[in-house]
Amino acid sequence: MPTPKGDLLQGTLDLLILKTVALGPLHGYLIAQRIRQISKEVLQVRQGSLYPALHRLEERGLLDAEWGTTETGREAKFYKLSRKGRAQLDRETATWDQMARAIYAILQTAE
Amino acid sequence: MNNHESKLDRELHAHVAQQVEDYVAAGMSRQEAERRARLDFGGVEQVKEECREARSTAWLSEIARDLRYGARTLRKNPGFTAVAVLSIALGIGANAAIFSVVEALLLRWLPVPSPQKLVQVNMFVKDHLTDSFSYPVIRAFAARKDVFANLGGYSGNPFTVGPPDAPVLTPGAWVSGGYFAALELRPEAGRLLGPADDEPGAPIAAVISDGYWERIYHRDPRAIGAAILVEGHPVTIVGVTPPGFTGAVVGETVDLTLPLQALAQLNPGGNASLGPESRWNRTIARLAPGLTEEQALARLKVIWPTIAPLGVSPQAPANFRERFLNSYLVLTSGGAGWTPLRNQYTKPLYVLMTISALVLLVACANVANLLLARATARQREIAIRLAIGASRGRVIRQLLAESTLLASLGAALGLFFAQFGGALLVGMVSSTIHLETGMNGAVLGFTMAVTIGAALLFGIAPAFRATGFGPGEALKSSERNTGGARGRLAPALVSAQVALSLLLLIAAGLFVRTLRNLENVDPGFRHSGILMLDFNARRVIPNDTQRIAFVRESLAAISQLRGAASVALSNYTPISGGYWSQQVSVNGTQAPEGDYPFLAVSPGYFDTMQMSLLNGRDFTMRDDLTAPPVVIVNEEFVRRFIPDGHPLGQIVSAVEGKDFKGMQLVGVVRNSHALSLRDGPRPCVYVPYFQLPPARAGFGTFEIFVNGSFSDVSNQVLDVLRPRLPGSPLSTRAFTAQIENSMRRERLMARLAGFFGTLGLLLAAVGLYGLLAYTVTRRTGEIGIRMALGAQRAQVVRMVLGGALRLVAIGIAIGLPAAWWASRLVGTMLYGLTATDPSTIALCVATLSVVALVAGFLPARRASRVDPMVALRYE
Repeated sequence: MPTPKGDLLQGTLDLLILKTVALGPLHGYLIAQRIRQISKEVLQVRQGSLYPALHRLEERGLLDAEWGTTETGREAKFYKLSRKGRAQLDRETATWDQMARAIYAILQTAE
Repeated sequence: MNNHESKLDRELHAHVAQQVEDYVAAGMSRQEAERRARLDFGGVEQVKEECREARSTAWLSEIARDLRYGARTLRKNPGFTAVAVLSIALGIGANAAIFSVVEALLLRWLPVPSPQKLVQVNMFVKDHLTDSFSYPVIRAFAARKDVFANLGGYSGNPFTVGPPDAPVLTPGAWVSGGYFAALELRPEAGRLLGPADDEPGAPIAAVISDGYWERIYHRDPRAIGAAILVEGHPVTIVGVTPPGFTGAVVGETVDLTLPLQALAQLNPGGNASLGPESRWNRTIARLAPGLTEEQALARLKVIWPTIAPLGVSPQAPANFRERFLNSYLVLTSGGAGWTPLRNQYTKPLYVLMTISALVLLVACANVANLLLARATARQREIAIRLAIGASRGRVIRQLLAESTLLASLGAALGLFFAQFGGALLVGMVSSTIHLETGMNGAVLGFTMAVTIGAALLFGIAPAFRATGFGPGEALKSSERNTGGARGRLAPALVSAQVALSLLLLIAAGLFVRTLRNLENVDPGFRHSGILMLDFNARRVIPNDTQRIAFVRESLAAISQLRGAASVALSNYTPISGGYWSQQVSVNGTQAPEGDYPFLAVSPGYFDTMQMSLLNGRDFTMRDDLTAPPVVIVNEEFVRRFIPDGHPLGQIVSAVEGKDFKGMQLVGVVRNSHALSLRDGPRPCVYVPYFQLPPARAGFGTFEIFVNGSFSDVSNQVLDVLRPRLPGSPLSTRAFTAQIENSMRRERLMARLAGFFGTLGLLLAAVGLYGLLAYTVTRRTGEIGIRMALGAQRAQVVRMVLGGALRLVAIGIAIGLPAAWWASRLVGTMLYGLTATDPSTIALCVATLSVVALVAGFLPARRASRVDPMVALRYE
């Protein structure tokens, strides 16, 4: 389970990245920041996991990447969701949802 | 690739820069912000490495990089590279060479459509498997369209083509009507032979090969329809077989194909060859559409009792008939054609394949050991790579790329060896066969598979060993103390090498002694100094009386020649592969089951061949067709069939046929090896050459005991015979060559097993030497301390050699039971010793131990010369 600064569940990071860039193109630094902010500092993404994950997703064709400039005028690599990535996100969200509900149902049973 | 790298670099830098800006915006000093940002990020190189790995498509360029890096490392260590590549090349070369022969002789498909669907019919008579059928049986098979879509019979045969004054011996084949249909060949020109050509009375048609059409007719279309003289009879060429097809007999070229039915017209006595008991044709067939092999066999089982009687003459002895009628059929794959060599060489070739695989294993163990030693030397480099963020998998991949590179270099050199080796091997198997053993898809594929297998085999363990420690640990400790990278693996490898090379040595010992035993067999006749000449006058002199007169005159003329000390004549020769045998009766009682070799010999044969007459008399020139029939037998015949001890005057008869009846026994000769050196004594029957039925006389071999020069006598004999036998192929040979020829298989095994045994021993010695030399270097300090504490040189030598001998002893302890188990597989190929022959095994163990001692002595001596002061200062 995600604890503060804890590691993400295997495979969850990919889902979070896909979801984060679903709203619009972002570069790596911002992706990490977004995940941290939205999760209210619960989820910390280490660079050592983030960048390999980004490259892996790009390689699998789930993310498209292009070079652009940040708000501060710095050159950065922006990632956005590809069509294939969108489909993957929908599928994984559904699966995650189902899984979470199932686990929750079990946790709710009276002892 | 560099583009990727720089982009990755920029991307990560952007991240850090952004972080710095945010920290500065939050009120940190720039210096502090930069420090924090770098700390947050962690190992940049490690992240980079992981990003690179995340890109799966990058693997190709990574492999290219690995290979380049590997090539650089190999170039930097030429000595290591040379030894490793040579070891692998010898191992892979041996495998590729033998496989190329296996492929050519045993596996290669005929160049026909879907060869895998061709079958060959075989017959089990009692426990004896035969692939040959008589013509009536083949016709009966071909008529069963419910079993065979098409079936043909065939047999290789040289034809004499052209006018009598300029005949050319042309390799060819007899085939039955269904042969080409079964092969599903399309003619290159004209048409191929069909069932109509193979009917009695059909005009004689011939098909020529594409090569023959090219060479003789320069692809002139008018060749189709042309008449040529074959065995003196006009024959019409009707078509040309497609290019690449040279008949179904592997390794023989068929330029001229004739229907079997033509035999009756072309050869005097040819009709007999088409009779029920002339089983000399092989079959090739395709099953009826939709029929599986099992279904076909089931149907054959039902119909065989109706066909079998066509394959045995009604006059045959009852027990023989019964045996034949109780035979049953089996189907084997026919798509690879047929060759008599397969019966003889399938097992030897697979034994050689196994032996060469063992050599490769020894070579792999050697290279693995070299790699282990080098991994230790490279520990620092590998530790640094691990420390700066390379994953273990990544470094292992790098090391395996290097092994693959080594193996590939070895394979390239090995294929070069194999190119010559394959051709050499085919020459050792047979002097008459023509097999393409050059590189082809099958051989290359096999070699590649072996190469990759070898690379993994010798590369994987050292690669895991080399990376199996934490980077910190390796960086801290010095090279000498981390010899654990070789650990117990290296000695285990050397023991394995010893075990494998013991197996190889024992195989070598068994086969070399088998050959020596055969060479030392007393054949029972004189073999050196005998010149032989085959002749056949049946075509040139068709008249019986004239032909027999010619033979008598030739015998007399040759005996007058300068240097011909003694001359004789026989219809077959001992240990030639060809023989004639009959069932016999003595005084009307049939000799027990089986037929016994017959030989027709002229007067003086026993004298010329130095086979002493033990009893009675030799044949004389008066023992001809006008005199009462006489016979000479050997000791074994008397021992088995005339046990009362009074052989002379007994009556011996052949059971079958109308000839060789009521022959009076006039002499007994010493036993000799008539058919093969491996045989025990067999009962043999000798009949006078000039009492042969005229149709059977007129061909045979002159044996001349030469007193002087072979070539001189040979030239004189040819001068005598050539004018009398125009156009007949005549050549002379030494009898010793024929006997040596009969030991071809044993010589092949002895030479190759001997070669591989030596090779395995050398490789194992190098392996042992390498390990000890390395150990001594690593233990220099320890040895120095021991010597400083008073150890004597002899003690140091004993210590090092003791370690070596322990490894050898373990190897022998593993190798001996393995050899015991494996040697049973070659038992039937040996002669004069058993597969577990104690003296051979003892000799091999002794040889191995001596070689190991020598290999161990050099490092041991070096250890004993260690100067304690130098060693300790080094510490």
